[in-house]
Amino acid sequence: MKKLYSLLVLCGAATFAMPASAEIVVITSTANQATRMFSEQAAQFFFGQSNQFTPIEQGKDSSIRKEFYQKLSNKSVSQVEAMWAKIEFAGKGSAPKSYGSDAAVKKAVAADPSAIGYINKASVDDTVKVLLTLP
Amino acid sequence: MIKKVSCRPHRMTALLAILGTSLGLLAAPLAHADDSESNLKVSGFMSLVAGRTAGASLPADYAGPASIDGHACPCYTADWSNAGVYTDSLSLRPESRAGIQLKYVLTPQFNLVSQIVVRGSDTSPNLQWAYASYAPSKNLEIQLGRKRIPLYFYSDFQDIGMSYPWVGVPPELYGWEATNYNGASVRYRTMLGDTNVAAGLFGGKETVKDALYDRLFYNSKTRVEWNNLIGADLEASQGALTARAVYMQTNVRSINLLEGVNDRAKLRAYGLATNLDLDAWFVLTEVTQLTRDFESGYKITAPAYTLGAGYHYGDWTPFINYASYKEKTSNSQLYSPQSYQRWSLTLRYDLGIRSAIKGQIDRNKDVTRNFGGDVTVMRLSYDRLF
Repeated sequence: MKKLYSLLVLCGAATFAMPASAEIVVITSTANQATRMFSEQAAQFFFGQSNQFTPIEQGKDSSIRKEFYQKLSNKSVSQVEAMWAKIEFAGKGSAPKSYGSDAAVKKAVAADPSAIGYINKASVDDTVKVLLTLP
Repeated sequence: MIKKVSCRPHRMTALLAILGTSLGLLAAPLAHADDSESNLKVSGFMSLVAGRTAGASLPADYAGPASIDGHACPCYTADWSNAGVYTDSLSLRPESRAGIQLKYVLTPQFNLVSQIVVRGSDTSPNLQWAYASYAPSKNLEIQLGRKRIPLYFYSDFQDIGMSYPWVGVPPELYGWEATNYNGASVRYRTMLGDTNVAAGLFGGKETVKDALYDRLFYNSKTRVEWNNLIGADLEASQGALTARAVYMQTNVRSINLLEGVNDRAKLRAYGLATNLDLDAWFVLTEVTQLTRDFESGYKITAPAYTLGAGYHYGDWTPFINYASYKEKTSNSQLYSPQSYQRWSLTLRYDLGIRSAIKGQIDRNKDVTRNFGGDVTVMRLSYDRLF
């Protein structure tokens, strides 16, 4: 039931989401050495091809997740889920943890030097470092 | 294609208890990738597959069996490892399956994983996996216990319908007596320039008391042992392209007293697969060869390949595929080689992020006219992830 409540909160938060075509940025911890990244490079961490960075996800049904993958590499969320299913059910890794808001993602990213996540550009502050901006 | 293997868990009641508890956990809305603090992660998968054949009748010079595992021919063997055979009446049994995966995280480096699967073609639950995983660094992972034999590209996740475009993986390449093994594996991943590379080594053994694969050929129990199994694979991915090469060898022993079968063979398998994942188009290819060298002095060589292309159009994914299997033998008195070719057309619709429906038509040609006959197969599947 706790998870159902969280889901309801997520749905509530989503209704206050940013306008549809806001810029999305890929972020990492300020402790991370990387300074910038191309879309193809960032994609490999969000698709599980490389585990050098630990990907952090937004909410499963969030509009930012859908937009992010569209902008990053023109993929649907279903395609990305299928990639992680392959990895997880083959015992080769785990799907990324997902968080319900930009604030929660920032907190998770700031806490882990090898984390990589994505948030709305407007949510950027000095707790995180921007690696890539997706228009 | 040789025997099939089914594993019967030793402690049936304990496993059924685990299955029951896990199903109870799944009844609550469960997001397995969330920020909960629980050390136990439960995930699962399910595929409901309905299918039937629509073949005319067997050719006049048909030299094969009148029925395969109790299914009247013309018939189609979709899953050799689990004796999943379709005939001209609609059935859900050949390929339907459900599985639960439990992952217990002891420390970030050390976790325990188990996977239990139930199938329409084999009613008792099977303990597919039960292993411990230790990852001393991001680059290295060691696994010890029971796991699926990672032979060809889709072997690892063969049961996860959501992760591939066909209703089932091409049976021309996939399907043997042994599906899982008890042993150890090591996997090392790194980057070479812009390419992500992973190299793996695995080894162990497997014993199957009543191989489902052999039920395709015999009506009695065949005991199969795969011993001294050892294999290595190399996977590289960069951008749109992923490629994997694998080599495996094992000693196979098959015993079926009623049929007078008692042979030993050395099995060698090679495989090369590529996945090209462009913007909307994607192309999947795999070439394999399996050889069995029997102690009694003859050899069977079975090369096979599959080639397919698909297109993502919103939630729709059409996919066309051609696959071929062609056995050769050194002694056709002792063994009649089999060969098949198959065209398939699949249409997949993603219902949501974790479920999809697929419809597929296959046209299978029994080239050697000795195992099933020419058939058209029609299937509809519903895949789901939990």
